[in-house]
Amino acid sequence: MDEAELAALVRRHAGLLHKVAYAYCRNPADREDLLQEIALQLWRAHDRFDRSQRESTWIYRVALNVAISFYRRERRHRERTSSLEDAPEGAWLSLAAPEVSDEAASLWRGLAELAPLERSLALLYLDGLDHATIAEVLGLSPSNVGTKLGRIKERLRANYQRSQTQERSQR
Amino acid sequence: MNDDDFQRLWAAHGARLEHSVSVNEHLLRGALLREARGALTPYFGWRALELVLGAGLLFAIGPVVARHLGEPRYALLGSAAILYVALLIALTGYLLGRGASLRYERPVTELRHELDRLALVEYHGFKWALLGGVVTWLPIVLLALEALSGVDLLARVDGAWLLGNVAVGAALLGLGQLAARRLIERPTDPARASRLLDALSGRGLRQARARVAELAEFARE
Repeated sequence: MDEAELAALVRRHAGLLHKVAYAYCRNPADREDLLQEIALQLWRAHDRFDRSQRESTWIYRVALNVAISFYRRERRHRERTSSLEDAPEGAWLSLAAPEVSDEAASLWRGLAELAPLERSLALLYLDGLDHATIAEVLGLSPSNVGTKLGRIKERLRANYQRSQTQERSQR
Repeated sequence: MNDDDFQRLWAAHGARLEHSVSVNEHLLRGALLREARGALTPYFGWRALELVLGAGLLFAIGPVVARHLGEPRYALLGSAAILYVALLIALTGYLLGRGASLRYERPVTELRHELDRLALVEYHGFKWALLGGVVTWLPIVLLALEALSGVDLLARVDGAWLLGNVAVGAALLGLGQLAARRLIERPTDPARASRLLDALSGRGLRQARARVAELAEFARE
């Protein structure tokens, strides 16, 4: 895979990749770092891509695996250092700051309060994937996905409502 | 707000995000070239160096111990030193092999399981390497110098001095652990230093165990 093909792949799945990055990183500089790391893992893993598999399933797996590792590493690093705000030099991927509605911000905050693995399940659900595909991405059984999803949706709803209440009280 | 509303809200948010990504192919080419050239990340580079140094040490001290196997001091301390170095090589080889075989396209829980297990092995290995090092570092140094100089250094060293070094090593290890527990909450850079503090203070092992438990809970039906 050359750089043009990788760039095309990133552009084709930009929404998916950015949503994963958005779910695991608070600041834009970290999101850029994470997206670049995901893209490089996609590039490394591309030779092993099984064509009978759906491309989006493969991308979700790589993206979530990299994002959870990145999140844990950065959280540990952030606990130890004062700032990670600077973007890397020569970043080949850049993100504009999109306008985010209050409701979307509350949903994102609700998502961010979930543990990393639960967050990956919630993210796949919000992206509209069915139980079988979520199970394939995460390596769980479809029935387990259904059970977990019920609980996670309740928590997501509670987190969202709490966030909305806080938002209103701050105005 | 119901479930469908959440999905609609997320989809609208995703559509906005989609248009905010831009890719610079020129800089991307440079990044891929750097990746291709530096296939060995610092982690793998250090591990490979440890492997080479360990193998070199084993080849150096092995014949020295074999020559003096009839002498109790060489048989006991020399064998302990060889066993320690061999175990370190095996551990490093294991971490290197397992690390290189990690595939990020695997299902999330499977990869997390591998990574968490690997972290546990790494922290346990580090703990035992430190404890073993306290006992064996002096015989290893003496045997290595003996291999270089041909002088029977291990035979000439006073037994009390050898024991004294083990005691001092154990005391330093204890002090190091205490210091690491105090320093663990302070800002530290680079990443290797923070990993060392995690390993010395025992926090890394506790975190790795917690992650294994968290994953088991998540994967449970």
